[in-house]
Amino acid sequence: MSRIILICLLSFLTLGASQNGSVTVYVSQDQVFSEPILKDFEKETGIKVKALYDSEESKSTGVMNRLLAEKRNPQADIYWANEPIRAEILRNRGILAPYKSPNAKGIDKVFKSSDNTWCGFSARVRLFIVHKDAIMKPYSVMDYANSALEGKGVIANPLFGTSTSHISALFTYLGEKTAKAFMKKMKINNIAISTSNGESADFVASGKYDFALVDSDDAISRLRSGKPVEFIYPDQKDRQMGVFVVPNAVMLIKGAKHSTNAKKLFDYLLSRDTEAKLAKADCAQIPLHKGVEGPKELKSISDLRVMQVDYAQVAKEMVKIQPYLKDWLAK
Amino acid sequence: MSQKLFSWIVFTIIFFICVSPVAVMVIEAIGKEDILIQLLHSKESLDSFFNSLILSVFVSFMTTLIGTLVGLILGKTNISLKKAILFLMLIPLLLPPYILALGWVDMLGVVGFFSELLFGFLGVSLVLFTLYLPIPVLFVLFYLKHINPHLEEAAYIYCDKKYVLSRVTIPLILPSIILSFLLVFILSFGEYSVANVLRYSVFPLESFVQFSAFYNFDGAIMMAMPMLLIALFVLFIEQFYLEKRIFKYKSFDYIHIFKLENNQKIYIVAIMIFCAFFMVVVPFWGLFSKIGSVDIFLIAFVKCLDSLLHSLLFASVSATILTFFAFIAAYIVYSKVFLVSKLIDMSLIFLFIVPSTVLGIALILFWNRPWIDFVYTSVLIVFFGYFAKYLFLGSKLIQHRFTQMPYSMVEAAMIFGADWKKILKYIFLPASYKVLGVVFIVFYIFILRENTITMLVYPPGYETLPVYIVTQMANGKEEIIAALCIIMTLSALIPFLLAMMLFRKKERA
Amino acid sequence: MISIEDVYFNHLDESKEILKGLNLQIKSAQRVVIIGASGSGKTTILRLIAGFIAPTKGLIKFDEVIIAKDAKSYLPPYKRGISMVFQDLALWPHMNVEENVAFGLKMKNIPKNQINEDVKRYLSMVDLQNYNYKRIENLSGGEQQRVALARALIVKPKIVLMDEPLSSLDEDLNKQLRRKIVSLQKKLGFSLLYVTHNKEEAKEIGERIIVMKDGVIREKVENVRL
Repeated sequence: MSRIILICLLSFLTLGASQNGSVTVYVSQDQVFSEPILKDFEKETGIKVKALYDSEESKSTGVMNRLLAEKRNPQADIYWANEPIRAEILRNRGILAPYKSPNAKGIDKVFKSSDNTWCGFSARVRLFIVHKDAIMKPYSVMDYANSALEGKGVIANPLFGTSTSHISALFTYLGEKTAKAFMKKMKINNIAISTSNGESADFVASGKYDFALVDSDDAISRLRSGKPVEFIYPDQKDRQMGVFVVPNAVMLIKGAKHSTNAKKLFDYLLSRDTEAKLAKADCAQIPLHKGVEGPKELKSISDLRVMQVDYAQVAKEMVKIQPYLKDWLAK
Repeated sequence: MSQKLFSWIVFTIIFFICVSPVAVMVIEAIGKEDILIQLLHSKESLDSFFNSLILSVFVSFMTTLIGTLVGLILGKTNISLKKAILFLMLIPLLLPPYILALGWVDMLGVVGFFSELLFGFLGVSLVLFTLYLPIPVLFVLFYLKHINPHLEEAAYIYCDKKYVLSRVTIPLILPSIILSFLLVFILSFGEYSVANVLRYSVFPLESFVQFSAFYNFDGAIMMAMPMLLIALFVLFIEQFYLEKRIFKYKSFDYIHIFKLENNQKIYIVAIMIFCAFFMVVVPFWGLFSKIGSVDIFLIAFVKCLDSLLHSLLFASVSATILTFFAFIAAYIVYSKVFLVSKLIDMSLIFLFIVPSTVLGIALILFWNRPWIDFVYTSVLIVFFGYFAKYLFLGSKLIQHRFTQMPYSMVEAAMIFGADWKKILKYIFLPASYKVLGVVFIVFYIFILRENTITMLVYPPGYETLPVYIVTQMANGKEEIIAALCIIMTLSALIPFLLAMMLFRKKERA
Repeated sequence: MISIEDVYFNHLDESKEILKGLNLQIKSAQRVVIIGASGSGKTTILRLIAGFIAPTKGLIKFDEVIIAKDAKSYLPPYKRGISMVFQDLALWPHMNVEENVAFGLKMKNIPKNQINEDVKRYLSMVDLQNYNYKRIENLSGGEQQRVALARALIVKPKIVLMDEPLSSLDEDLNKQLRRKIVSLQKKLGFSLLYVTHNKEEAKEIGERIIVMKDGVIREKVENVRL
């Protein structure tokens, strides 16, 4: 009996022991899309990838928290975030190490941190999913406050996910006063709140609401499954603010135990190949490198009017407006 | 080594591995009460707290009420198909809770009238009800077996069967009813994966969000405190109220059975099968109908092979080690060594009722330190989580077996000069082989279905199947997720059925 | 008053016959003792009369009315006007002394003050005044015995069945209590069917003694001592 126990314990200990030629990556991009990329990296380089995935909408495990919790004793080498705000939070907490990847060349500086601690790639954009039968259609985010569209729109809970980032970006772009006035009008305009972008998209697909601001991948998946929807890029006219872009972000962890392999993975994720794969996958991410073929339903970044924001500023704003958003929801 | 010293060593291990993380967390929380007050002032926190409270009271009330009724029917009447009905009802308990919720979503879709009912209080209640119904049923069945049939016959001399039931049988099993109420209450209060799938705001989810979405450790710790208080309250009731009211259990040659008329039997069996079918088979049908073809199933199987292997390995290895420790712990609690037996007993109950999220956060905070990071960076941390959460279950089952053994067996061995180690090896161990097998299966299944602790603490690259399914839920293809759920179900059901067959064969022989 | 005619009994799932063509009459206000080794079928007779089981073959009559015949029981236990004292006493642990004793009367919807009076009277009859609110687990073996006796007698049964009720007591207490049982029977005038394996008990209690072995009656003795 005791021998069996001993063997069991030993096998447990050896299971977690780190191997040479490996890299540990924490991933907030959906596993469905990120895993194939990491598997390809393994195949091409022979470096074993140990991955830790986030679950739905960062509501559950929060690999971010692991990164924060492990600051004294980091376990991860690389973090693949599905939006740059998280990267900024980590940067502010001193968890990231700078790395200038050769593959970062050709990516617009809006999508990179100035100190090279993170770099964006393959992006989603925030656009309107609109039901085909909707009589009035929105063309600007500001239309949420348009009384002609009263009660027709829905938006995901602004306390979570890309919805938070987007609202925070509005605050930095418009200034606090104008943004708060907009939020107030939106409330008066009877805009519904859903629990996630996915739910918003479902509501529009079913015809319960006419339109919703969602991530491009949520809209595309509904369109591809034949739902009666179309999409509209908001604020594309001159002097309008443009569409909010949410790129993936890759970053190197300070004190990474496998930094050489980590840099290889860093470069791999920023490569044109990876961007092409993510564009073809169901997540339909828009490449940030020029000339990489994007998803056929979506315009390329260069064809879009992009909202010019400093993601570092957005991250700061996000923390600041947290109490305001809670209040706003409660009222 | 004396028995006393040995007992204290075992207690120290349990305390160090599992209790101290929670204790350290509480200590870290001291002085930060203002954060909690602030958190509880926010509308979502307060709403989610009341949602959780109402939900768990409702679910525990309903499961206890219906479960007692079902237990009485299965244990006390002569209806047929008892085992089939019981088995059908048991299935949800063998699986990660969210699977049933996903099944319903696949069945009803995300829009429409029924779906609106599903996403919210009613849906979460229905799934939790289905999930926890077997608990009161099993408790009631167990206690009914240990009622002296003469107590019921003595009443039958004076009154009809309805009164026998209400005046004697039910009062005698009342402790089991209260116990299952408390257990279901604490389990449903800590459960969040169903609420997560069905988009209903509950308190453990809120505390999880504090932890994950807002990167707020202090917040998460403070949100854990109300849950910890509720766990302590349940522990208090168990230790000081129930323990005195649980009448000594003894087995009897027969159970007093209430014979029903043939047409009554048919009605009751039909109703029960219909309900079990509705609650269990329908959601699984939802999953099956999503899969569509064998190819999808095979694709899902290939995708999840790694995580399935991890799951099977973790479950079998952990169950083996846990069975060993449960046996030791049960022996110490049974032999009533001064103070330490009580301490071990209370620690195990406490760890069992502490919500998994709290336990997981505590384990990370405690074990993620540079000089002991061989725990945190290996699967040992996952094992510690299982150890804390489930040791109680096995230890209780083994203790029950010990109390059934005549103590004279031990005394007889003592006369021949056997010390406690020899008695443990030659008397207790051989007498417990069967229950150890049962305990292994219980551990195996509970560890296999576990996803909360695992998800919080698993080391990179070692995800289990239930965790893999949860991460796939973000934008994964519905049919693949449905297929994964079926694979999960089979990997829990097959060993369970094999074990049942093995036990039956042995019993016949 | 009670007549058992050509009764056979075996359990459903077993082929072994516990009773094989039993015939037995018990007259009103008579004390009958059945004596026999364990497994002789004596307890089965009590359970048949009580109505917990029905004879596989044969019939049982109460006052010339057939109440059970050929695997069918026509009268449930609570309508038979009987009482029983079990070997393990079967006192309900979740009720106190008073609640145990009063149970039978409560089930007959007797008015509350009447019940209180009766409980008081019967408790004093078995020398347990002021024991009303004690918990069963806090009583001694002899006291529990007397609670069981009071519980059986308070409903004024026509017949009382006793299944080795004194077997767990020491000899002194045993003697004391069997005298109590005889005196109570004489005072209240019920029929008594008493099962034991103790010859002395049988001699002291029984007006008629029936010796059982392997499911049949071997001997019927009119007790000469009385």
